[in-house]
Amino acid sequence: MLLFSNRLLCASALLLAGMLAANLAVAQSEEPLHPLPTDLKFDQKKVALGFKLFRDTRFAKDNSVSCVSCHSFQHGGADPRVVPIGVAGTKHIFNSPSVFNSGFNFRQQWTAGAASLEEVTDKVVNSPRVFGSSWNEVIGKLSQDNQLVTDFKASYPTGMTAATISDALAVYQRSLITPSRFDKFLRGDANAITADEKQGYFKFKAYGCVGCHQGMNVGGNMVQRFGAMHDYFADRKKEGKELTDADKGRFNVTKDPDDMFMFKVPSLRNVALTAPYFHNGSAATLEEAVDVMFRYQLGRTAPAADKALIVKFLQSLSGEIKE
Amino acid sequence: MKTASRFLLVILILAALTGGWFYLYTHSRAVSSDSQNATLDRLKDLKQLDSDWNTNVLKAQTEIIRTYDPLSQPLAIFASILSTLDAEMKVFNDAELKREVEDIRTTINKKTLMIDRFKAQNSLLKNSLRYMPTAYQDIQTKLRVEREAGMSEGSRLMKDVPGSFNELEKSLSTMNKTDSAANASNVNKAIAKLRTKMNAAKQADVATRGALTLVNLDSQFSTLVGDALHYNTIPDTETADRLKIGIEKTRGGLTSYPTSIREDVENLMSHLEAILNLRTKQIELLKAISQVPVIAKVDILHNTLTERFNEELKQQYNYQQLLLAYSAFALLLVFGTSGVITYRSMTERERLVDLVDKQTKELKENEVQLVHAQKMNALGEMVAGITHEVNTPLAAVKSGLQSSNDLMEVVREYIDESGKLASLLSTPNPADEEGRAKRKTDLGKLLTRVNELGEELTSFDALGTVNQLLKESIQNVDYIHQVVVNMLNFSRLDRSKISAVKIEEGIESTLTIAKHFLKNLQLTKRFGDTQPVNCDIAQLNQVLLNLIKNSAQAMPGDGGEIIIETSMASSKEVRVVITDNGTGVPADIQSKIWEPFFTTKKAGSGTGLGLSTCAKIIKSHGGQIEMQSEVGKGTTFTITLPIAPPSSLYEEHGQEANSQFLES
Repeated sequence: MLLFSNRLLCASALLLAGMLAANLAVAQSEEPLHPLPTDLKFDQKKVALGFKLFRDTRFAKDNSVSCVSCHSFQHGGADPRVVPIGVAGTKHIFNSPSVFNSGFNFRQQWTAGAASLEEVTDKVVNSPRVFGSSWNEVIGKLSQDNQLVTDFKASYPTGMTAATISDALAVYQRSLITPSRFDKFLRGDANAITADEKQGYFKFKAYGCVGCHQGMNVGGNMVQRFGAMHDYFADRKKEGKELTDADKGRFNVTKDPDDMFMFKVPSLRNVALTAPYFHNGSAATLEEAVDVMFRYQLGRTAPAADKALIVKFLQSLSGEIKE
Repeated sequence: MKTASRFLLVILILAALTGGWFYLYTHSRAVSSDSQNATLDRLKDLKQLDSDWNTNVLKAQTEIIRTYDPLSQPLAIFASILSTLDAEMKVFNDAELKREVEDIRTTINKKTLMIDRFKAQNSLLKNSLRYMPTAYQDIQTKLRVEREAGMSEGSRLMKDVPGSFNELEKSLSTMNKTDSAANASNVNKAIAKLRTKMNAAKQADVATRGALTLVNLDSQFSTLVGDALHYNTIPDTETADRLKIGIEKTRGGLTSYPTSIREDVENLMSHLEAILNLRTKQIELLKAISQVPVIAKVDILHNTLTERFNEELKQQYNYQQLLLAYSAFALLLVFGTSGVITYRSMTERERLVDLVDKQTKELKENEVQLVHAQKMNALGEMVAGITHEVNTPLAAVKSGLQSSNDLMEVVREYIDESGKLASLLSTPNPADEEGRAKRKTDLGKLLTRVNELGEELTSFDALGTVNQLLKESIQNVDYIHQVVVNMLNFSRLDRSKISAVKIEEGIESTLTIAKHFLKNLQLTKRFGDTQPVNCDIAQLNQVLLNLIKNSAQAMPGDGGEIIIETSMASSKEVRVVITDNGTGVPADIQSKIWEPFFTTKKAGSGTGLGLSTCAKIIKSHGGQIEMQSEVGKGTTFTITLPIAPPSSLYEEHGQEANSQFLES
């Protein structure tokens, strides 16, 4: 009898918990944007290692550039140039995406070609447009640095390897989180953003920008065709801009014709700091970028005042990096 | 060597036994149901995650959730679970399992791509659905403006027509009355006017009809929007076809629409088309997503794993049985061995006891030999002492006897000659002259000789001298006898081993033997009234000689004093104290002096057996020997002996009697 009642109690408790969870899910679904977590913990020794590595030019074959060269902390973790310049002055074909909050992206790079930050490191070490090196070469150079070798041994039993270097860099990059005024607003502080910014947020939702730029990272969790409602690249061609390899987007990675012109939807966090915009850096200003989005992605027009409000809202997404 | 190898063999056998047991033990526990369950739980997690994924896709499709985070977050969890599974499958080293995990990974990747596509399409579909009403409203608004403009123009144009008819009627009635040329021209004017009006009216009609067309257009768009919404909710082919035709028709008639709405219509059409296409694709995609066999693939792995686990369990069960049998066997072996060992150890103990006894005996014999050697040493010492004592009187006896022998030669000749004279005298005088003369001559010669000899003997009182010599010799022989008696007293070679002796007797005989190295020393004897001690006096004499010799040797060159005291330590113990004022024994070696072979003397001058043997002898008599010494002041040895020695002493001497050393 006792057993039975216990079981009943358990079952009802479970049911209650389930209902609560369901309620929470509904409550969460009310806003398409979610605040950044505040309770993440990182291994500070690894973060310190990653910090050093992120600024280490020995990754480049000619020791000319480091990660931070194209992911500048003064520019929202991105690069103010249309395309970044890598080893031996080589121009990249993509605009530099921000490293800030990149740990929350579902995949990395414009093509979503890297499943993780660790994979990105592996790609850029070998990429002729970034570091143009190899793991053998990088580890060869880094292992002459006794301090670095000691630090690695302190954090990883296997010492300095391609895997641990990638891990330290990934841990460091995951720690680069930029909570903004808008996060405070989402957490219930109604006055954390201005009335205009609030209006802008409502427009941002109403015009359907949140169709793609949603979630915790205001994007960064899906791919989308650039030119969904109007053929962006045909119009570019009309302006005399020939189709580039970069323009093919995710097709470069999957070779699936359905992935032609597909790009990872970038996170809009710190977007006001990361001009120029798009995979080709073709939009110099936020206003310009918003215009392009309206025309080619939403397939609609909007009054200039509404767009200005949206730009204001986007500016409230700029956060601080704790360093 | 043999023991070492046997020990090694035992160790090896034990190691093999233990190793075998541990092998079976670990194999009978190799299967950790915890880790098995953890692995199976991971598979459950995968399935749960996948079904949540499906649910979230549908939730996103129905806009219950409005972010795609729940669709992208599982990716990292899938990756982590799969990499854990990879590691776990490595243990099995089984290509099939590896392939099955890889299958799950491939399937999930396939599904991920589909869901990526779903996200892209769904967001566009939702955008178009959201925007479509607005787009339609915009067009509707513009159409209303156009329509109202058309209607008002028509009514403005038609406004004058009734008036024109009135004018015409009026002109006609006037014409009937007057029929004048002026009237005719008025009528013509009125008709012309009316014709103009009629033309205007025609135009107005066109305008109104245009407005009516716009109303139709509006309802056409409204139908399309309705169809699109309907298609989104219930995607049937009928609506799809209607939509497709409607969109085509609208696009075909685009040039006939007011310019102001053309772009908007075009835009609306592209959104309608997007809804139609995306929703059609979405249905297929959702179906495809739900059909991706992630769960089936996980189930395959689950089944294979369960099979493996069952196999493992079965094997483990076999090992457990084996372990049981092995343990029983090992236990039997251990008990058997321990029985054997117990039996062996018992016999071994007996053997060891015998061995110890034998060794003890040998040891004692060795000790006896040692003591005997010491005794021989002492004898040597004694012989050295008595040689001097005996040699001088012996030489005197020899020379006395020699002298007596020489003298006796003369006496013998005298007696011979006297005998010859007496026999010649007793012979009768011969008859012949010649004979008489010869006898007379011979007698004369003999007489002269006897006289000569007699004079010679008298001249140095031969008989008195011989007498004197013999007397002296006898004295000397007596002295030698005395020395020999002393030696006997010292060594007691002539007596039974243990007897009651007064210790002072021993001291005296020892001092006799020691006389030759005590010459320069002052000796003081303070003998108390002691009871006889049952002892082997020969051994005790040896101890005393050793101690006295040590004392004598410890003296500085210019002589010193040795005091020998005896007293009763108690009613049953006699004490002998030998004190010297010699150099003393340094404190750091005092504890070593009782050790065998310890010596401070120069190499070769002592065996070092002295004091350790002394201690042994005193101990065998049940007594004690102690030393007190101070450097520069002297040394005191104190011996305490019980009057009645322990029975072991008698046993020792019983054995000693059997020993060949003293017999030979």
